[in-house]
Amino acid sequence: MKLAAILKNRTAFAGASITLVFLVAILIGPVLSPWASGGFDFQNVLKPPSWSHSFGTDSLGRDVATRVLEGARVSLAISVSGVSLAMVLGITTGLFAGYWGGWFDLFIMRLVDLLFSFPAFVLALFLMVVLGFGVVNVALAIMLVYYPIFARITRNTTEIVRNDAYVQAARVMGQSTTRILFREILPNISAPILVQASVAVAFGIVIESGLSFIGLGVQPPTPSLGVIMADGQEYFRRAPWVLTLTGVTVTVALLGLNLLGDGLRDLSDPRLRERVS
Amino acid sequence: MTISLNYFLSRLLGACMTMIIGTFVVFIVMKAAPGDPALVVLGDFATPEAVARFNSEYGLDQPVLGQYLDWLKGIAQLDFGTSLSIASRQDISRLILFRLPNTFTIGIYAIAIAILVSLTLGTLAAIYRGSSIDAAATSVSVLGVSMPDFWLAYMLILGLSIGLGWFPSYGFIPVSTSFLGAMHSGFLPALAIAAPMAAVFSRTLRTSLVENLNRDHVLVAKSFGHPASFIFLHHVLRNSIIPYIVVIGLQIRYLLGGVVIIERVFGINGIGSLMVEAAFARDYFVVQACAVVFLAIVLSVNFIVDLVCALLDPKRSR
Amino acid sequence: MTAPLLDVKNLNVTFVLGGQRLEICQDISFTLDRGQVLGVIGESGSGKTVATKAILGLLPDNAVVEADAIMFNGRDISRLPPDEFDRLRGSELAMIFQDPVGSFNPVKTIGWHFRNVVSRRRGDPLSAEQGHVEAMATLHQVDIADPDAVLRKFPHQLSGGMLQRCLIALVLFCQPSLIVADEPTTNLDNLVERQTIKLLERLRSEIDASFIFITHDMTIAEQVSDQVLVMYAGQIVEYGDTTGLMRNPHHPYTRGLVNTARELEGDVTVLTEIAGEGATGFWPADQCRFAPRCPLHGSECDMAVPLLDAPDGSAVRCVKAGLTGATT
Repeated sequence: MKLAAILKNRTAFAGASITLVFLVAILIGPVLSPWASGGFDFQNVLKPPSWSHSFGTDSLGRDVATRVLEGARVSLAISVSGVSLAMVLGITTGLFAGYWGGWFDLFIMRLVDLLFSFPAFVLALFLMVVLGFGVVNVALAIMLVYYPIFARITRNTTEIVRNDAYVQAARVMGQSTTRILFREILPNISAPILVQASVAVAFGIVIESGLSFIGLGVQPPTPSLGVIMADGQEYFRRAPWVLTLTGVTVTVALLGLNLLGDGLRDLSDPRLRERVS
Repeated sequence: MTISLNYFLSRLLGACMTMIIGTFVVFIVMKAAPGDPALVVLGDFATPEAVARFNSEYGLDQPVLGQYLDWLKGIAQLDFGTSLSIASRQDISRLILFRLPNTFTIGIYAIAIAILVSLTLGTLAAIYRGSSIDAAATSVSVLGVSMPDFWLAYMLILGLSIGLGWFPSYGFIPVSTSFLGAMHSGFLPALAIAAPMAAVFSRTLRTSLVENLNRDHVLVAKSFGHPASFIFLHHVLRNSIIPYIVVIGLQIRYLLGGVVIIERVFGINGIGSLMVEAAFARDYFVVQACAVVFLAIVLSVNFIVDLVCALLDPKRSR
Repeated sequence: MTAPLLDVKNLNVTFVLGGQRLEICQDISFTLDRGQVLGVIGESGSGKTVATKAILGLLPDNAVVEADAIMFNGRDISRLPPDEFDRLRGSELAMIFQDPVGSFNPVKTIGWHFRNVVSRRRGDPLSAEQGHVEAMATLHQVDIADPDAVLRKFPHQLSGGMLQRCLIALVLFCQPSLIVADEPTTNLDNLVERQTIKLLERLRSEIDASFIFITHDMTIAEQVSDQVLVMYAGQIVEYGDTTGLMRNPHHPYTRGLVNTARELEGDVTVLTEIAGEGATGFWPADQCRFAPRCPLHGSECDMAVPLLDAPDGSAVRCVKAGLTGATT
């Protein structure tokens, strides 16, 4: 999956562009914004969107757009860390499980099955009860939700390719198991993992915002997309734009990530080509 | 088509084993939670004697394994213990029994909507693949997965409840009171949960249908002069059903997750909202009971999906 | 002389792929009399399968089929609306496909397939009972020992050879007047292949149908057909009686095929190869398409070569075959 291929596929390109724009916005947006972060302005409480406040203001007079960008930083950071952790653990255990087989494989797969047997959000919720609330714990919860997915994908694909010619060649040449796993096998099975990664980050944001929305995730005053939406929910009837526009932002960001994931999937699936006769 | 008894029993055994391991893990992990149940109930300034009395009453001074086995035994008899704080000293089982049907109703309602919508969208997208209809259906699908479900719920409330006044935005009439009332008050929550699922199901169905449309036996059927509708029904749809059902089974995991928040948003008295309330109130016994209930639901659904797939797929049941 | 069962006049097939037009078949014309077998021989990419699928209307939507006429039983089926064409298929026209394993719906029994074509049979309608009996009889006709058991099995429970016979039986069951067999033995191993060819030869004398037999194997073509159509690069390069063509091939490509066939039958250590490989789609307009691989190629071949009549009644597309007169 080379860069050129990504640029040619419309879906992947659209997804990548949207995601890129979004990333740039949340990185430099709050810096460029004329409104101070966390700046209260009790004269301008709950104002609808206008030229000066593109998303309006919230119950404390803060500029919602700036807050959303800041919150997006936090949400994205949490989701990416959680998913990255899940990837590191999942890929490592998956590689060894798929390669060695035996009791380790059995153990990991049983663990994965168990984790899969709980609804994702329930798992996250449960963990928050056990660990307590806060940014770090939300990331850990996301890691727990996604670890089984990466572990299983990695393990299954590793199992399929472990007897391929190049792997056997590496073995014969005396390469250590770790080298074989990470230098030979991993690059060849990375496609579905990457597809899953972009989808995972997207849904990780959904989990985070869900937890924060019901108050069991990120705690205010730390902004996150879920916290802002929880705010917006409190005065939804009076000022629906806070919740609405924040959600629109989330949707657009997730759209980008999902399109990217879709495009990557299309690119890596040879069966999706047209047939002649 | 029949399934061998062997298959059935092995699946059942597997599910039971996972259930037992699951309850153990839930219990042990819950024990690691910060906070002392005694203090939750009696308050932070409880005397050591009161705490000791509390602990012995609830069996909390027993060895951990013993506590677990007692709890497990209780669950087997559908006794989940007593609530700490939410419904002080009341049977958790009664709480659950009261709330479970609501969750079920919303859940099944959501799945039904998702299946109906996805069958339509997926089929349209497959039959008219490459055209603007396909593009539109796919766009709707991608959008469906990109929206947070609780946000969609509020958008629906904004539009259909506050705006048009067609549906209530809060409260749920249980089926036992009125079926029509349940359908009416449950429509928005079910729709909010169903949307992302319908999106995923449509995509899966479309992919599956398109794959099967390219299969040889479809062309062979055409060569025998069978009409297109027959071919679609029996050679394409029938063959696409299995992966579709498998995905439905896999998505249950996310459906139930959505139920938790949606129940909160719409004020529905279900297991999801129970778990959230218990989480806030530090009612550990209720939380672990809810976790176990969810576990049981997921395992049962997986089991049923497995059986249905085995029934429909001749290669599996022989 | 009675009218031929099938008379194809000037069939052209083009595929439209992403805005590009790929010409697959050009200027295909032939006739098939009742009870006759026409062998169509060519390598992959020669367009032989596409041409026959075009006649049966089985090409995908991005295929453009143009013909002066395709006369079947006196009707021009190239202009037929789809639902009428559906009626013809199964009852009058049928196809035996190359890959028997993929040709059956994997989630349905063999018997299910038979039950659904009962209504497509030519002749009087049968009840379910009679249909079952007839199905068993047809399976018996293709040398299947236990028809009742086979009818209840699923495709994955039967071997490739068995499935090919079931497919043949399914086609026979409908009693069509024209059967196209598309390389029916290519996917089978050698022993099974020979058994299937023997079966087809026997069936040919037993039933009252005409065949178009597609193959890439000259020996098989020689064995089963009355007439042979040789295709290369989407065009007919030679067309004539089997015996005449085998004894005295006019076109260099045919000559190559015949020589190879002869050599395979005898014991030789060296096989003559026809140099080069075939290619599809884009052809230079004013050149013989076989030129790059032809041992006889010369400057007089650099023209769009027409199909010409030979004195022995066959037709050849080659300027070096020493002929006079022209067809097309």
